[in-house]
Amino acid sequence: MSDEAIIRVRNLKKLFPVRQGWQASFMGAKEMNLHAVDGVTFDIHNDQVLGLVGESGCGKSTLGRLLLKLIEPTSGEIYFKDTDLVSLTQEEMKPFRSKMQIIFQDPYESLNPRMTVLDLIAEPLEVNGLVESEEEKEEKVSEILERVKLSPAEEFLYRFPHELSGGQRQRIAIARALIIHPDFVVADEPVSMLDTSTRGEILNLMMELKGLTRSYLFITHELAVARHFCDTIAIMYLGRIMEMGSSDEIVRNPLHPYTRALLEATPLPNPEARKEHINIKGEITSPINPPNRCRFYSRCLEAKEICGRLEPELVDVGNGHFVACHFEDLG
Amino acid sequence: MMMENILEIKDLRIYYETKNGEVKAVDGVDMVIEKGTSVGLAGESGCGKTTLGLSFLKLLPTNGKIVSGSMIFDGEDIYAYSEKEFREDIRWAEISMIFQGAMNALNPVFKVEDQIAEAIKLHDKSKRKKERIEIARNLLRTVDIDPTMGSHYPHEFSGGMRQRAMIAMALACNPQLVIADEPTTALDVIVQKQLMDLLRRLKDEMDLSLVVISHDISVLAELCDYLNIMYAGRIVEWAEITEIFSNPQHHYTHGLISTFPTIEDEERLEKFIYIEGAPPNLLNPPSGCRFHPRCPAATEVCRQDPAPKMRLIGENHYVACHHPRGEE
Repeated sequence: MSDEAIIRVRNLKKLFPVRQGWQASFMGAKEMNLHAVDGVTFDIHNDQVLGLVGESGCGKSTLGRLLLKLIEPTSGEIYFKDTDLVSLTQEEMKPFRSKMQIIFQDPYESLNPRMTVLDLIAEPLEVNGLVESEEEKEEKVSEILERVKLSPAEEFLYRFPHELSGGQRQRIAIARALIIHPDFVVADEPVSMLDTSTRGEILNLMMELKGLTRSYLFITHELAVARHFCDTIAIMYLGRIMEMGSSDEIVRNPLHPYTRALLEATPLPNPEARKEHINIKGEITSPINPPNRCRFYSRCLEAKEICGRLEPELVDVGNGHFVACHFEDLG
Repeated sequence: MMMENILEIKDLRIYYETKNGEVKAVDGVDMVIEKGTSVGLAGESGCGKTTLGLSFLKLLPTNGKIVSGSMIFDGEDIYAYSEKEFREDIRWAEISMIFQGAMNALNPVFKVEDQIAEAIKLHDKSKRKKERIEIARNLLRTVDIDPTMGSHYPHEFSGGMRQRAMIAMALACNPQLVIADEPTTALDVIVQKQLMDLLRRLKDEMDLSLVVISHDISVLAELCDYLNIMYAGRIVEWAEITEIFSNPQHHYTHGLISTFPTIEDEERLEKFIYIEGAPPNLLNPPSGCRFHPRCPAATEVCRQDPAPKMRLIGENHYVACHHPRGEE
């Protein structure tokens, strides 16, 4: 792994204001914010696949969109190589857009139903002025269609999305993201809408096509998929990264009680390995104005007094393993 | 020990009339459910598993027709019942259902306890409203919801709580058999685990029989005693749960199990496994064995009708395949 960081994120925050009635604001009620992403720091290196794992509502999709500046962060820094993207205007962002792409979760909604496969895939080329003629456009699109294994390409060029299966559509979405050879791709749950029998095909394809991009941020709620697809896994909970490390480390040596609960709760396709209990209580708490304490405090069975009054920082415990827990050494 | 069967399905066929022709969603299914067991039904989207699930309660969409087959519940063919008899004696009273998508299955403008009590009212007119609410609150307690939450509305419940409320509703009339259609889909793993524990506990405590429908075989591995594998409208393999996972005979079953990435693996996979191709369109399914276009072991005989019949291949293990994996 090369040490050159493609993306560096420092203390990134995104708060969404929660609307209150005019009476409440008139009465001087405290401002309420939903802390979707609340102080996140990490790097994505050249050739690295970083998996962002968490339950729904933990802020993982928001984080993915922040990195591409599809939404504006509240505070913090995002560096693409050496450029701080946060300070750029939308106009100044344009040259960087061709270097960063996103693959969305639902291939039934992310492709315009009125556009042909050719136009869908060629759109990023045209927007970024990378093609001169119709012939060149068709040639480039045909080439990438073959690479995403939709061949013969001529058969697909003039089809519409509704004529394709879910797996085929997701391959179009991948082709569309990779055709301009971006340095960085955010893949937001790219296989969660697909049947398990065909998921493997898409994941393999994304691995094979790593030559066309340099790094992925892979967002998923399935730890089992992340364990095999990603080099590094970051576990997110209520807007914070709770634990981060190589995927081997996270699975074999989980240190945070939340990571351990996630691992225990993940069902195995093996009826002889049934587990009776999991060490977690309650349900996810509200992300609106969270108090200064460990986000996992109310659900953690190992919580002590300090956890209730101080939010732990993400600290390096060696071996590229980071954890945000006051009692990380007990793991 | 000979177990008593709570339900037997024989040669069930359900076809949908569409403007493009007949969709054979369920096409010759046999199934048995022993009393007090949980039976899994696994398959990809569009294989007919939800249609089969709805057929237990005769809740098919209006264009869906039961073309043939019988459903023997407690020794009687309940498909011979009139709609009125079925509604009064079977649906919810004996067989109930936990629907897919608890987010949408509850009525947003009624209190949760009133919705549960309504099911009781329809089947037992002798109880007064106060009694019914009392029962509803007890049911909420059974599914680990604070009974005082009963007077709240569904939007005040979290996803996991709504699914629990759906379970409480399914139990309202003390049914013998509960059908759970994708009970944990769209829930997070931790909530999913808690729900599976709950379903297992209720099954034991209330002596229920369960049918669990899911595309996620790891959920079925956790919950079920037996597993049916469905493909393109037909059951292709049936066995006891540990047997089917350790010794799958149909190539489709084997494919489904091995495509599942697991956190148990010591090393990272170099390649993900997948089944080539896509499930067939049921407007025009392939001849012979419906899995043959995707099957690595298919030969000429697999392409020809009639399709292979379910046959006994081991103790309590049936498979519909000309070339099961054990006979290669």
